[in-house]
Amino acid sequence: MPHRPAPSRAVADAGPSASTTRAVGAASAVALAVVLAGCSTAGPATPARASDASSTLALAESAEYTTLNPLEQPLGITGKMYDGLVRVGADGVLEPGLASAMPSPDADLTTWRVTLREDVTFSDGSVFDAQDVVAAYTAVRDPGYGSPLAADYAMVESVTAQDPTTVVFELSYPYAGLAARLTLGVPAAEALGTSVADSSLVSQPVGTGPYDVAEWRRGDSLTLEARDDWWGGTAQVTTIHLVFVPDETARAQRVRSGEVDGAQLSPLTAGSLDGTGGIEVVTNPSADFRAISLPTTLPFFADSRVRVALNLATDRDAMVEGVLQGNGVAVSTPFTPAQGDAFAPDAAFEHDPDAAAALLDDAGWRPGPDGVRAKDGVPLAFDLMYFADDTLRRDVAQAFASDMSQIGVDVRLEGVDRPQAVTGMRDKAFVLGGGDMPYDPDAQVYRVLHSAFAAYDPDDAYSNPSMYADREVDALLDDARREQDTGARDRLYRELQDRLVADPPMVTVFALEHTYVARGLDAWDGIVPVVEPHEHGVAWGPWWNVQEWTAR
Amino acid sequence: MSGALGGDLGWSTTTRTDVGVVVAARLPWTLLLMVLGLALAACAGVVLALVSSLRPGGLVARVLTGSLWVLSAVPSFLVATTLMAVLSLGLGWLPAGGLTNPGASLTAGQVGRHLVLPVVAVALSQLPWITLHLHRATTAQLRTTATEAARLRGVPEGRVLARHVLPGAAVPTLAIAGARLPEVVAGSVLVEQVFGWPGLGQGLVEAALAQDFALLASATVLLTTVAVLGGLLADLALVRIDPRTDPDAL
Amino acid sequence: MPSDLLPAARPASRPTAAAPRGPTRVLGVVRGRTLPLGRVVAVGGLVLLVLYAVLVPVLVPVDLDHVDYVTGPTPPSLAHPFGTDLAGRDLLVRGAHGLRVSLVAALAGAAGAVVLGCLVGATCALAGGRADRWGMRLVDGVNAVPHLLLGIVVAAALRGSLLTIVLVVAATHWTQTARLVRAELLALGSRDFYRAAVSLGLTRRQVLRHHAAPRLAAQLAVALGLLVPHAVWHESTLTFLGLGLPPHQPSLGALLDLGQQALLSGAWWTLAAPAGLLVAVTLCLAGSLAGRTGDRRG
Repeated sequence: MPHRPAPSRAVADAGPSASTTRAVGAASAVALAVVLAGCSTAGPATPARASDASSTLALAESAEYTTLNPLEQPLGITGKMYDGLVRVGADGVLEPGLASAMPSPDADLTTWRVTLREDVTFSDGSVFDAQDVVAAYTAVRDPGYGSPLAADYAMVESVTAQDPTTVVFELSYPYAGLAARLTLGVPAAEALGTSVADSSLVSQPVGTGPYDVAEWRRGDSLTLEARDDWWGGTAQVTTIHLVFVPDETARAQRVRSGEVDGAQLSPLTAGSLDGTGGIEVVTNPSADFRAISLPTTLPFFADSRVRVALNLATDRDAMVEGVLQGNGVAVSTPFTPAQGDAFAPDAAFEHDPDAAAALLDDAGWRPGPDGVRAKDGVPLAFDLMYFADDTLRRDVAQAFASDMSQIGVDVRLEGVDRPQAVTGMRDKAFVLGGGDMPYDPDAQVYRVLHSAFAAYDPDDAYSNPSMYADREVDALLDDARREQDTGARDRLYRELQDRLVADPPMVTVFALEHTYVARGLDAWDGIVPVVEPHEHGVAWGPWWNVQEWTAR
Repeated sequence: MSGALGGDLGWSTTTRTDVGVVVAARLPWTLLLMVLGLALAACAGVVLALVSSLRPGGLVARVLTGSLWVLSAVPSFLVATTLMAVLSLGLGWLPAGGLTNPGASLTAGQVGRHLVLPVVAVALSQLPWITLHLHRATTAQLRTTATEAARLRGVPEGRVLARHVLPGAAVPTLAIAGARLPEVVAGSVLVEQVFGWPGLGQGLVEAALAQDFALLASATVLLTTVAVLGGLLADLALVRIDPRTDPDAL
Repeated sequence: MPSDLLPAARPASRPTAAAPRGPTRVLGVVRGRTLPLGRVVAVGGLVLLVLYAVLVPVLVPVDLDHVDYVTGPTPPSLAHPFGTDLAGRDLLVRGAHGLRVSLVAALAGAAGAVVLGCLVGATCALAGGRADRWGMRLVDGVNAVPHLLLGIVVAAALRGSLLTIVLVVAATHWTQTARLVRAELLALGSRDFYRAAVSLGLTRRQVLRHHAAPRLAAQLAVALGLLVPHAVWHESTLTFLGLGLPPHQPSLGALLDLGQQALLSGAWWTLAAPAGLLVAVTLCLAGSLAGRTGDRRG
């Protein structure tokens, strides 16, 4: 028993202990007072915001932004601070942004001319001109600058300013889908810096967009204020607060309690909030697909019959119903309805586990004693990786594994982080996400399907993870990107999809609708749907064009 | 190492800033949470220990002891989640997380309101241990000859408690508070995660998930230092308060 | 943390606990030893929980891989006594699987901690001198770091698997065992009978085998038991944070995380089941071993 001060004390000896008690008591009283003062002055739990509450928007974002540089982070929150030459309009139709008209190509699609809008100023007061465009497109292609988007601009050979309002792009090969790539946000040339690592654009945007950053409280929130000198007018929603709440449950709770007006949530969670406390669920279509890659390094996937069988055994409708709560559309190839006429709705797999089993039997994969199919001693079993922090991919993985076990294919699940996914991609299946740039079919599928990306490359592991190489598919992809006529182009892509159903590179399951919960939308006009890219967050949703809203 | 002492703690890959900047911004919020949580637990612990030792073996004491045992088995993140579910979502009395209402300025009122649930969560997770240990001290105090004598003299019960029992309880309270600091640090990490409180604990977890080792290392070392220093301070204060305390036994 | 209320979970220099009780209720007297009611209930509960975790997965032939998101969560009923979770899986069975995984991870971790502690403690005591001093400094250093922080650092480097949990628990909890073993061996060395045995010609190894080992074994078993609730807590906490076991694998931490997600849709039973199991297993473990100190002389 350790020595303790003897419990009995002389009555008169109230000296140090009593004063300590008083000190402790005083300190506690002060602390309590601070807390109580906080409780009383702030009033009830409903959000206490500025008196002109209608022009302020509070949204909960799922992760803190690592950078606000548009050359690193395209199409997301940077769209509020920056404009591109081309911008995304209602229903995902591209329209002119900083360009005065859509870019016009020459006959063989290798020279593109863009005329710029005049009287546009940056948030620091400087004037926008062709030099800023040239600087931006030079930096994004420069390996020294280090932009992750560099590979998307590989076809651009040179960018030149003919005069302060005209820019000319020279391409190294004909490329019909350049307009989608011209959505790159253009910062002021002086603010670019020498590389992404040391550029001041990481936290101090200098753009031509409708908003500017008022305050970035690290770890907590980012506040945007509308600019008076935006070329599109002053936004009526003058302030946007973006609070960072990584945990989905916490995000939902803050929306429910009234502290924020909206957030992006998974379909199941969003559905549970629908109708409560003035909250409505808003969905936007996207070309954001999920697929399970089937690496051809594994012996069974070299046979296209096995890949077709796995596609037939997957119950896509159940996944859309259950995992997405109906907020999505089943697809069998990386093409989605967002690609418009380029999408072939008939190029799809039926859910037919019996046909799948028959195909596997034909291919020589017979069920063994434990129910798992095998051939020449090799079991039809493989690992399926999914990002451990992504609940949707986890659920897709579980549903897929469940469907596969019905036909005797053993799928072992593995929750991974990004580095583990990259190293495992060569010989493990992976729940892939796609649709980074849905506004042109070539941008949507080229890197997923073309054999040029088949070889495993740790720096680019997410391109063509199945290591798929099909001569016909390659030819169709290359022809389509050079085709001037839109109708002919669409026909080529539809033919491509028929080929993909005959020889599928992966099991594509569905294209998501991104689900959001929002409150107070009926006070505003101008809310229209849009096709969203893979990236989703409160920069999209019903608030994607918040700068154009007008009060009702 | 010399760089660290000179203030250069490295570069955080997730926030793209110096680790020192991130840590300096987050640490005060964690300290605020920990100190208030521990203080609340200590005060509540003293009160509960007194109440249960007034009549040891009585119904109140047994119910209290039983509930505290159950509470001690509940992980702090579960306590935090339940508090949020009931008081924030269910009754709507308190905010569900964050430092302030979105975009509101950093006033004492805003922060204070958002502090209530996290502080209560931290306090509740430390309460069982503190109370049950204090119970012994207060029980012993109540039975001393000095207290008996005071009662016999007709001193009102309130004064007996204030002048004879409480001062004796101050010493073990401080000792226990100091001993609990490592657990308070751990508890605040989880509470910060559940409530989105932008302290160093949340920074630590996010650095771990993103494998941002520079920030992870600094956050761990700092939080450990806080725990160790706090314990040391408590021991020092103990020796000062009661010179009879044997420092080697602490 | 759960078993902080237990005596030997804390280093001996800190105030030790003894939950204040009234007159102890006794179930009966068996072979001259009294059986306190509380202890019997705790042990009984523990046995039931272990049986549940071991037998239900074996006896109940539910395929947990089969998910049914369309049906989704259903409240407790006769067909599903604990209800079903968001993926339509029966929670009674999934809870048993989860409890089993968590207990296995905890036991393995606790065993690892005990083994590591033995190695370090024995080395310190037997080697003596500088090894002993450095060993004790290592113990103090590791002790100073809060367990969860050390656990997070280890898990960050080793990412999400059963091995991670085992290593985390071993790395954070070996110090008590090390201190225990070292103290025991040092005490042994100073005993008269040891000197007598040495003078009779017995080697150190023989003395260790015959005298130290049996006594140590008993205390190590108790230490192992005391560590298991800690280990279960660590597993559930780390998995909840996303650093522990993968989310598709049933474990108490994963079930708690899923349960928290389902709270918003009102499916309270998805949280109540794993929470109840965690609290029950912790209390039963603590209650079974209460009153036993790790340093009881044999």
